[in-house]
Order: sequence, then C-alpha cells, then structure tokens
Amino acid sequence: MRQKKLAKLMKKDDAKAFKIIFDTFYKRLYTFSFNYVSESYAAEEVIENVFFKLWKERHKLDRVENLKSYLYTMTRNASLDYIKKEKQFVRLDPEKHGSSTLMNQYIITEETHAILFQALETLPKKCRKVFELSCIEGVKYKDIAEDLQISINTVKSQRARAIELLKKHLKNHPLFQVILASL
Amino acid sequence: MNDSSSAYQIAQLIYKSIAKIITPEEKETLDHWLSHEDNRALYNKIIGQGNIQDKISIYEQIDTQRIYENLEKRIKNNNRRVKRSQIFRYAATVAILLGIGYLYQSGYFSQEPVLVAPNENITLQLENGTIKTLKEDGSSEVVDSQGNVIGHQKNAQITYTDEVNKETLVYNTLMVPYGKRFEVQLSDGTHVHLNAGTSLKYPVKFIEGQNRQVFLKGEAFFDVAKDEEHPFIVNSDVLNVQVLGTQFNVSSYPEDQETDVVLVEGSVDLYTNEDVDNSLLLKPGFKGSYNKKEKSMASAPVITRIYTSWIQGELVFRNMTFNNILKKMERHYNIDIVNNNTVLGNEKFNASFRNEPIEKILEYFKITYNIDYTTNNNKVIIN
Repeated sequence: MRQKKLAKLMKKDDAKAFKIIFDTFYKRLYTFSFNYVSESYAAEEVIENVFFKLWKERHKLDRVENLKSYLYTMTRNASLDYIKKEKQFVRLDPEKHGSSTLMNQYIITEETHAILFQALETLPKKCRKVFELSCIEGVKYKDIAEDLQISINTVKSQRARAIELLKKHLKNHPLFQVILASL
Repeated sequence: MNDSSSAYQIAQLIYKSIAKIITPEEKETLDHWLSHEDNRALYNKIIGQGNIQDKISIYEQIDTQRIYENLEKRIKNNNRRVKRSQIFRYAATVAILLGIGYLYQSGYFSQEPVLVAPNENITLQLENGTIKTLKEDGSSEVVDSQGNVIGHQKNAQITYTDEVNKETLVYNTLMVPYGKRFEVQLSDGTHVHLNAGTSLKYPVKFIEGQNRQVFLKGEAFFDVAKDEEHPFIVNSDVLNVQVLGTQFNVSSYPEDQETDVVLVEGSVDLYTNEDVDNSLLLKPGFKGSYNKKEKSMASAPVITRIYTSWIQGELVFRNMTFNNILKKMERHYNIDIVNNNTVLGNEKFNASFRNEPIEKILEYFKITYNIDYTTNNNKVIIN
C-alpha cells in the first residue's frame, strides 16, 4: 500500500488506514520530536497532538504529496511551538533549532534507525542477535561464538542468513520499501 | 529532488550499508555524500557506539497500543462534540432571539463567573505549640523557647542553622495549605520542597549519634545531605523511607490509596512499621508504591520528571484517572471540585500544564475531552 493510497483511504474516514499510519510513524516521530523538546512526556504530547490534527485534517490530505514529509514538518513545527511556549525549558536557541539543516539531520538519523528497527523485527531471534552483534556492534566472530556458545561457523552462517533475509525482505515488501523510500 | 526526499534516500543507503545489502552504485552515492565533513560526522553519530542499541531500547519501551487508545478516545470525543455543538448552535440562536432583551436588563453581561480561591496561610508550629503565620513575601526569624534564633524565613523558604546546640530533639511543624508550596532547609543542609496540602514535622536540630527522622503528611521532594553515619528517615503513616544521601519524591496524602516514592538519584529503602524486616530497595528511575489497603509494595520504572514537575509549579498527568487529576487540581488551586460523572471519573487522561490559571485547564478539558462544567465561587461542578 502506497502512502498516497493510505492518505486517500484515511480521507474516507478509514480508521484502519489511520492506525497503520500511526503504527508506522509513531516511534520515529516521537524520537524526532525528542531531539527538540528533550522531555519524553513533552514528545509524547506533541506527537499525540500531531496525530490528532492529522485525523481532524484528513479531508484536506489530497494536497499533501508526501505523508511522511507532512508528518515530519508538522512534528517539527509543533515541537518548536512547544519549546517557544515553555520558555523555561528552552535549552538551545529556537532560531537555530528551527534550521532546516538540523531538521534534515534529525530526519536522516530517525529514518535510518526506524528502517533498521523495522528490518530487525522481521528476523528470527537468533539470527537477529548474531546480526546485531556483528553488523551493528562490530563484535568479532570469535567473541560472538563465545558469548552465544555456538561455533564460529554457525555465527558466519547466521550472519549470512540475516543479510539474505533482509535483502529478500526489501524485494518482497513494497509497503516496507515505499514507506522507507521517498516518493 | 527536495531536501527531505534526499534525506530519506540517504537514510535508506545508510541502512543498507549497515545491513551489508548495499549495491556498488549505491555505495558510490553514499561515499559521495560522506565526502562532506558534516555528513561524515552525522553518519558517525548515527551508527556510533551504542547509539543504535540505545534507540532500539527506546523503541521497545514505547507502548504504542496505550498511546493509540488514548488518541482514539480523544478522536471519539471530538466527533461527538461536533454533533452536539451543532444542535447547540440552533438552540443558542433561538435563545438569543428570545432572551437578549431580558438578559440585558437583568445585568447578565457584567457577571462573569470567576473562581475565587480562598487565600490560606502557611503556618509553622513551634516546639511549645504556638502557631506562627508565615508571609510568603516577607521575612522572619524562628526562635526556640530559650529565645535563640534557630532559623530564618525569607519568602517561601525557611533555613535552619546548625549553630544552636540541642541535647534533646525539639520539633517544628510546617503546614502548607492547598494552593501553596514551600521550601525548608533543615539543620543538616537537607533541602525539602513541600507541595500543597502538606505538613512536615522535623527536629530543628538533628542530634549527633541519632537517625535523622522527619514526619510527612502529603507530598515532598527531598534532597538529602550526605551523612553516612546518620541515616535519614522519612516516616509517613506506616511507611518509612530510609536513605543516606539522595534525591527522591514522596507522595503520601492520607486520602490516596497509595503512597508513592520516586527515586531520582542514589538509593532508598522502603519498609513499613508493621514489617520492618521486609524492605524494598529502590533504584534510581524507579517508583515504589505502598498500597494501604492491600498492605503490599511494588516497584516500576517511571519518568521521574513527571513526579517532580510540581516543584516548578507544573501539573503533569500521565495515564491518570480523571478523579485523581481532580484531586491534584484541588490541592494545587485550593478549590473544591465536585464530579457528578462517575464513568468519566475512572477514565484515564494525559495532559500537562505549566503555571496556568485553573480556568484555562478546565477550558482545555472542555474543548479536548468534551467535559462540561459550571463554576460557583471556589467550587467547580462537573456534569
């Protein structure tokens, strides 16, 4: 399902489409907002308001080309409003906070982590563990084998399997790919 | 290609390179992007030591289901409100046509219903039982029965000195009414913030070789001065909180079902008078709760900021029943709230407010959650 189609469905009051959008984007928007507001409860509040607004304005959504960019922009604005309103909590200059370069850096960070997290969720448990240790934490095969009490060969084969699965996943899941990629 | 769509592509390339599924052409694009110093720095931050693992653990802690349910509730209420307000609009038009002349004559327009919170004083009960009123915008001296100055009050704070020698424990009791907050620094340097509707009884001077024990009713945040030889004990009804030096919040209003202790720093030990040997050791970032009815203790990780935000005059409600929220508002603003809606009372809400007048908060609940209320002097009635 493409983002555009989701947006269209939501326009017709389809609560299911709304839920899919919520589940897909909540976590990354939350951590994105956290970059600005620096408080977890504030980020939670900001994102709840963003989704509430999204629901209320769903009828206007045909003018929104890219749902993801729309959500990031809404979140950024809501977060900036929040820190402006709550002056005592501003830790950085709001002007600087408002820069689009900074926003882009935050987006790249949150998107990378979100994609990676979603991908990891699709891996079998043991496979995922080996992949995390080897590809994310850079632990040596030998140490992984010792840690998990498996042979070095098993480490290598699990790692290869993880990569193979991630490749396949990318190919077989247009939803995944479309939501990840830009439109 | 606009900025953000290229951001999504870069993110995907970084992901592919981590997952080792990047194609040679994609690798070239990524390397080109990485040739900028700023981009390289960002890349290192994204994949940097522990950053991904940290993010994963944040992700795993987020309870999207709970948050979604909250949102759904808001959406449903909002829909209902739209329908109702349409009916009201017609009704209102008719009422205006019929009644405007009458209302005008009866002086209705000059009468704005305003909440008036009674202004009560913060008091200090001295060792001989006399009660002294403290003015929050004034200063005064606290004197013992021999006439020695043992402490100074300035604005909303009292500081006790360490200079006067005492052989026996002599107590003062601070009482903070609803609608007020106060601070006290004890003779050992321990700093205590007292929330509305709270009383704290403490020795004007702690005695060498004895535990530092104080008695709390209500809510307070303690920043306890380190003194490993003299454990600091907060007693609240049957529950005792024992520490050496640390920061924690205790909420123990007699009318609440639970006494909550939230630890910000250090470590504390919780035990009841009834079962001194069975204690619960709290770690920082955890809340220990004692259930008065069931006489049971439990602990859970929490966002400590939520529990200490009252010190700055904020009201933060997270997943809290409406009745509990009302109770906190009554204390904070010193007003009476009567809730006639029992179903609503048990529903849970999220909201936070910073030094806002009560009218604004009530208005927020009205608009966001469709909660109707009327006001009368210092009383709010929810229908």
